[in-house]
Amino acid sequence: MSNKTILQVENLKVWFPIKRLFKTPLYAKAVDGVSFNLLKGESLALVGESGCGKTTLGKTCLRLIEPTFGRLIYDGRDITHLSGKDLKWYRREAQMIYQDPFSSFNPFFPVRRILEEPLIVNGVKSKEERINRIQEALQEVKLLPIEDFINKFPHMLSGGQRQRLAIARALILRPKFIVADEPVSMLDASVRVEILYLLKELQISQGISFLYITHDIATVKYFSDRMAVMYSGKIVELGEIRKVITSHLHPYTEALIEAIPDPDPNNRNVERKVIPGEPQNPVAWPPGCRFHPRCPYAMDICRVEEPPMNEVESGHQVACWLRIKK
Amino acid sequence: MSEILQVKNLKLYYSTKKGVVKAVDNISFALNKGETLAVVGESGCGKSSMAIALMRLLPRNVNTYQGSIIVDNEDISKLDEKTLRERILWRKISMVFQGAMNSLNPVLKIGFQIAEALLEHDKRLSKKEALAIAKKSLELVRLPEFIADRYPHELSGGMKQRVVIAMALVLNPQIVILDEPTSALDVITQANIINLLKRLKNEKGLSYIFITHDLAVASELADRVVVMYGGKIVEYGNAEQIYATPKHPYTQKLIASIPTLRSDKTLEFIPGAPPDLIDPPPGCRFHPRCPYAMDICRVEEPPLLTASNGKVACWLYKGDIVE
Ligand SMILES: Nc1ncnc2c1ncn2[C@@H]1O[C@H](COP(=O)(O)OP(=O)(O)OP(=O)(O)O)[C@@H](O)[C@H]1O
Ligand SMILES: Nc1ncnc2c1ncn2[C@@H]1O[C@H](COP(=O)(O)OP(=O)(O)OP(=O)(O)O)[C@@H](O)[C@H]1O
Ligand SMILES: [Mg+2]
Ligand SMILES: [Mg+2]
Repeated sequence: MSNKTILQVENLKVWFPIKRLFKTPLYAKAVDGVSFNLLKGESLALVGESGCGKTTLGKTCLRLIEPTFGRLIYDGRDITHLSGKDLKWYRREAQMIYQDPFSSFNPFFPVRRILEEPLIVNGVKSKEERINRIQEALQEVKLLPIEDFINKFPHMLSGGQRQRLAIARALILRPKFIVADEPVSMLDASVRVEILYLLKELQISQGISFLYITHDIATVKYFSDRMAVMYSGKIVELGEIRKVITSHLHPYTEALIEAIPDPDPNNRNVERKVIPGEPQNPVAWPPGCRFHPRCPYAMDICRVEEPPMNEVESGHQVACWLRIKK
Repeated sequence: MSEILQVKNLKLYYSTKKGVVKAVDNISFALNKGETLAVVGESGCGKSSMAIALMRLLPRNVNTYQGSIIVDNEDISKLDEKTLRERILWRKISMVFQGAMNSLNPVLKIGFQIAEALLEHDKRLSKKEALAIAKKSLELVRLPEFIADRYPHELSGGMKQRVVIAMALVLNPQIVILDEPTSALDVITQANIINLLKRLKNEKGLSYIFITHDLAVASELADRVVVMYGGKIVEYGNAEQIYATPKHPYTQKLIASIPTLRSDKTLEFIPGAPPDLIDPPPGCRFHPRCPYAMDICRVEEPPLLTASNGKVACWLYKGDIVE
């Protein structure tokens, strides 16, 4: 592993057992064989339809969900089965920003207390230092002037301000790696950009590595450097953002991008080219390539054999039989 | 083109403990036959309130409800409740509610839910007839007939949204209000639903009021666009004009904030927060966030006046007024 990598994910699988009375349990294979490297200081976007396993993958990278198979290596250290004190260390190194910050704040705590809590839990004993760190975090997310915000309660903040608070809470323990799970999808377009720019700024100024989970592909190029496309528990394409948007290699990526309109009044005069069907059921993925039932180019091999991930050009990988020269 | 709907001076205020919420504050616009009018604006600007005001499906805490709503040359705001329900609602003007796909009755089969809605409005139908019509309406939204025998939890999000659209169309209305019909869906499912709405519109000659906060999605259907801000219309014009040469500073910022996939541009955002509808700022409601705010904007409210191709409520265009 190169020392440029902060997190190495190796053949990760996360299977949730579904208990059935008097029968052997089935498994929802939410993440089912994912490998990638997150580089130091980069922002990697993880995109895909609802239920494809993005959140499960993100939370497993943070060790908030137990991996079923595979390995996670953080900064050269195997963290797949960390526990106790070591896990506590990792929980400081790596943080999560959630989609709906409102539901993750205690409504009875003011901003100061919300930010102080993780510091107390993690043994920052000096009150003075805690206050300094809180002020620093509020400064970083630009909840300014600080005096105006520090005593406010979550319900007194606008959606954008609440998301800033969520970011401040993620920053307060000075993490090196953040999973941001749909951090802007609850916000209006006019506020969304402001938050994405803030995250970009933090990535650059503090060198934090981000896994940016979203279904909104139009936003990724404003925050991320590379993009991984996930389908049915697997990564099917990974590459530099511009490459993936303009010269995508996987038919699913193509379908995803075709489906997204740019604001253009001419759109109303045409029908959008779109594939039929819906994502598959994680309990019984189709055999072969999981996308084959919806794929306009499906061949015989796609129905029986799963395509491996293959580097087609430097830094651009895809798992598709169309791209494998025989 | 003939106007199938005219809305004049529509107001809907709510009473709350904190004061009166002016959610729809003196709104006027018209909808042409066969046209789609998109209504866009930030969360809380009054889009859904405008929709329920048109349908007179109001919550209990209404403080003020007034204005005229002219459908096919008839002022339906003058009709009593019973006549409105018997003759107008669902038959002439119907609606797909925001989030409706998640409020389908979980214990009723899809076919029965549609049939029930039908029977509610047409007492002469037999149960069997209603069920037959329900099945036909599924065909209209490109769902197979067997879906009629399924329960909501057995359907995907896209299928449920199709069912809800079928319910809105079952009495053959001319005007359909679509309140965020795709916001909860994945992009591919969203594109499929939008294609369906396009086809239905052409097949049945429908007129849509398409409510969304997403201007990229709005452009998929909109012939004309109404931009709302803080309970008011701030701009109103052809889609071409709104997207290419927006006039109101709010519309300009809104358009500049939309991320695009295929072209590169620097995105802008609108600093500050939307107005409080209980105690809105004096003058123009956008002035605290407006980069061009002048003295007059802080004291006097700009009227919605016809400027060259379109309408805009902004003092910057005072000299540009056509009337
Ligand atoms: N605790 C669990 N037990 C059983 N199944 C689960 C559990 N958590 C997630 N799943 C299933 O795993 C799959 C992936 O879920 P996940 O939440 O990771 O998807 P996602 O890509 O984040 O979707 P969304 O875009 O809707 O947030 C889904 O089918 C989900 O129902
Ligand atoms: N029944 C009600 N009582 C009091 N206030 C209400 C009621 N319904 C809506 N409001 C308020 O009226 C304003 C307009 O709400 P409305 O739901 O019409 O906005 P919207 O533009 O549809 O927003 P969104 O994009 O979030 O759906 C908001 O401030 C809202 O909180
Ligand atoms: Mg998720
Ligand atoms: Mg609404």
